[in-house]
Amino acid sequence: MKIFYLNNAGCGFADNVEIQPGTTVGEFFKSRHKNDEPSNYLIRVNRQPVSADYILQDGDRLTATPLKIEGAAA
Amino acid sequence: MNDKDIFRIANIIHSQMEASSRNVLLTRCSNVGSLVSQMPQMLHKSKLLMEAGRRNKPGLFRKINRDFIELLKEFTSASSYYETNSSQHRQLKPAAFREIVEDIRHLADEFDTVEYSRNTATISVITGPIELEGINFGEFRINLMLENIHERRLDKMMEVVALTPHPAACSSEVTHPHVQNDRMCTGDGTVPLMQAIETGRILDFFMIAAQILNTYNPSSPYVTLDNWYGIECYNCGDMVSEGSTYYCECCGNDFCEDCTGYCECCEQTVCNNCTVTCECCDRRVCRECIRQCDCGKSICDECLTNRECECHENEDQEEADAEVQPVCVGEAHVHA
Repeated sequence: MKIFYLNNAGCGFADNVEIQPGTTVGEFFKSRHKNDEPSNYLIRVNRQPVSADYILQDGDRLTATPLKIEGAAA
Repeated sequence: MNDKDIFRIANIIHSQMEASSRNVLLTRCSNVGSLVSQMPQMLHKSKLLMEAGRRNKPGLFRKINRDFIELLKEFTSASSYYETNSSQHRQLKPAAFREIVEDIRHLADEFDTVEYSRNTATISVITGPIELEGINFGEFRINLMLENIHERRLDKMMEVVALTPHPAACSSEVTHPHVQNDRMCTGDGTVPLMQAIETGRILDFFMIAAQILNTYNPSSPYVTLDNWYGIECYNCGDMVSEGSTYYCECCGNDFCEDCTGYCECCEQTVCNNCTVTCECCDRRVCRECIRQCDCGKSICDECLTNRECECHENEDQEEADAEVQPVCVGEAHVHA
């Protein structure tokens, strides 16, 4: 099944991704970001906050926004 | 915000995105220009850096190096964004109208206050209180001026206004380490923000902006948190606002006005501890302009070059006397 995954970190990522039925948000995140933790992101599914054990559904829209985004001085 | 406003906002955003898409080639040309325009500044900084290194000024070198690194970071971020868009030949697809509507509806899930001004076509959210390393900056209103979206410039479309300002001691315009004159310098957030707005993801746009406010970047703030309430004079310990400090070119520390002077030889700003009195002309000069005369006195560069020291007066007199023809054997001075 497919979900739309959108990552707001760095240059970003936005595309449809194939996943296995029964994949949770936490499992999906770990598969994409082996060296990072879901707790470092604001994760939304269909624009709603969800827990890591939420089971993704076909057509879900998952966004991940880093908690730490560094600004600068112009 | 009622449904009528939501649809009105979505309409404006959708048409702005269409206008923006039509201008994408022009924008890419503008991005090239913008990218290349950073190069003279980087070149200038690199020359200052090399000069500071050549003159063996570690304090000055460190200061310039910090600025240079920030320029490099901005350039790298902008060039990465440009490369990503160019190599993919991607023309970002505007979001469907209903997606924009959903984003606007869900703003209220993330922010307690969401407002729309029809007069200015501005949608705003209010963040929760922002606190960084124990300093409370209060709530901020993030304004998105919808009719400027097509310009594809964050400084034109976004304002960040402190609702209960706690500005830096040195500058009332700096209300947050990364906000000056109600404009946020978005740093690492620039690319995600632009991508969000270009694809009509208003919800992501505001969430990213809020996270920038919630993050402190110690390597590149307008004012560091350490100096938010002022800078301590290295000599006397008095707290001074950052704009009122003086940087000693010799020791690389910051001082208040009372603890600072200048070298009367090279005219550099130096602290009182780094100046020495020339034993010849009594001027106050820095350590780099003081020399050791042959007689052992500490004298300034100018006095040494011009042979102003007393010891040279005696030598000069002896030389002057020696120029008169000596009395030869068998001859005597005959006075008139």
